[in-house]
Amino acid sequence: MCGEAVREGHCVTVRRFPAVAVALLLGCVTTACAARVTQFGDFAQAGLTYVKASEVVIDEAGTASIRANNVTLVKSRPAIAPDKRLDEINTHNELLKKRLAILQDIRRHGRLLQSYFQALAGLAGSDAPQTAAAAAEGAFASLSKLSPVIRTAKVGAASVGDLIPAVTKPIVASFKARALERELELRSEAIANEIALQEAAFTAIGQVLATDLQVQLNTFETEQVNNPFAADGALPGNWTGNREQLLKMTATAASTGAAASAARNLRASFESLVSNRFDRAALDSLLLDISAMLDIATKIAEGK
Amino acid sequence: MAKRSSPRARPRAAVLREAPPPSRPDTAGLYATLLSDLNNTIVRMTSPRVDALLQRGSAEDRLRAMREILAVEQARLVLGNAVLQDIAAKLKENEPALIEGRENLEEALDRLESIAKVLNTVSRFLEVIGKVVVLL
Repeated sequence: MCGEAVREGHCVTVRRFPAVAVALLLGCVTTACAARVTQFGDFAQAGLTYVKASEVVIDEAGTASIRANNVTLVKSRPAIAPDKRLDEINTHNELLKKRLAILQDIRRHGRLLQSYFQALAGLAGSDAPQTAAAAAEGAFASLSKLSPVIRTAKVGAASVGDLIPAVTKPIVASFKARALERELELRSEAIANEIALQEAAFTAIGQVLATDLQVQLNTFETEQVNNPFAADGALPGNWTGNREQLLKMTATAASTGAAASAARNLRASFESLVSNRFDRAALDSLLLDISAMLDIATKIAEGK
Repeated sequence: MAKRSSPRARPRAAVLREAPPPSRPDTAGLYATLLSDLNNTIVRMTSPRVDALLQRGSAEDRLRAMREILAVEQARLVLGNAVLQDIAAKLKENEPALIEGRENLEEALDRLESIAKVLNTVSRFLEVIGKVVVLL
C-alpha cells in the first residue's frame, strides 16, 4: 500500500487520508472527552470533600445546641419553681433529643449523597479505556501470531497494531463520557434540588449554630471575663487566657455562615458543570469554601 | 431590652409549642423568619450589657428575665426543630433519585469494565489458539 503511494504521488494524500483523519478525529474526541470527564471527576471529588466537611459542622451544631441549652437552664434555674423543674428539664431534654435525631437524619442523608459522588467519581476516574486499549493490543498480538497478513496489515502508513490501542482508548473513553452526560441529563433536576436543600439545611444549621455559640460566649464573657474584672480583688490566674479565648471564639462564631457559602458554591459549580463551564478556577473556589467550612467547624470543636 | 422583647417572645413560644412542621413554602419561610427573630432575641437577652442592666434591677426583674430567656430558648428549639425537620423530610424525598443515580453510575462502570474484560478474555483465548496452531 505504501509502495503504491510513493509511485503515485497524488494518491498519497488520498490513501493516507483515512488514517490521518481517524487519528485527528480520535485526538479531538479524546481531548474533548477527557476535559469533560475531568469536570465530572473534579465536581465529584469536591462533592465528597463537601459531604465530609458537612458532617463535622452537623456534629458541632448538635454539641453547641446542648451546651447553649445547658447554659440557659443553669442560668434560669433560680427562676423555675422547684415543683416545675422536672417538667422543665424533661421538656428541654425531649426537644434536644429530637434536634439531635433530625441532625442525625441529615447526616445519614449526607452519606447517601457521598455514595452518589463516589459512584460519579468512580466512573469519571475509571481506567477502563486504558485497560481496554491494552487488552485490544494484546488480542491483536495474539492474532498476529496466527496470521502474518494481520501482522503486516496497515491503514495508510500506520500499522494496524499501532492503531488498535489508539482507536480503542478514545472509543471506550467516549462511552464513559456519554454515560456521565446521560446521568447528568437524567438526574440534573434531582441533583440541583438536592444541592438547594443542602444550602437551605446549612443556612438554618449555621444560624442556629451561630446563636448557640453566641449564647455560650455571652455567658462566658459575663461570668469569666466581665464580672471578675469588675469585682474587687485580684483577677483569677486564667483571666487573660479566658479573655483571649473569648475574643477569638467571637470571630469564629461569626463565621458559621461558611457551611452555607460552601453549599451555595456547590450549587453554582453544579450549574457550571451542566453548562460545561466547570473549570479549574471554579473548582479552586469551591474547594476554598469547603476548606473554610471545615476550618471553622474544627475551630469550634477545639474551642478556638 | 429584656422587657421590650418579652411580649413578642412569650406568645410565640406558646403558639410554637404545638406547631406542626411547616409544609407549605410560605409557612417554611415564616418559620425561618421567626426563628431568626428568636435567635437575635436570645443573643440580646443573654448579652453582657443586658446582664449588667439586670444586675442593677430588682430581684423580681431578674427572675422574670430568666423565665423569658428560658421561654425563648424553648421556642427556639421547637421552631428550629420544625425548620430542620421540614428540610430533612424534603432531603428524604430526594433519596430515591440519588439511589437510582448511584445504581446507574455503577452499572455504567460495570459495562465499561466488562468491555476491557471481554477484550482480555478474547486476548487470552487467541493466545491459547496461537499455541495450539504452532503445535499443529
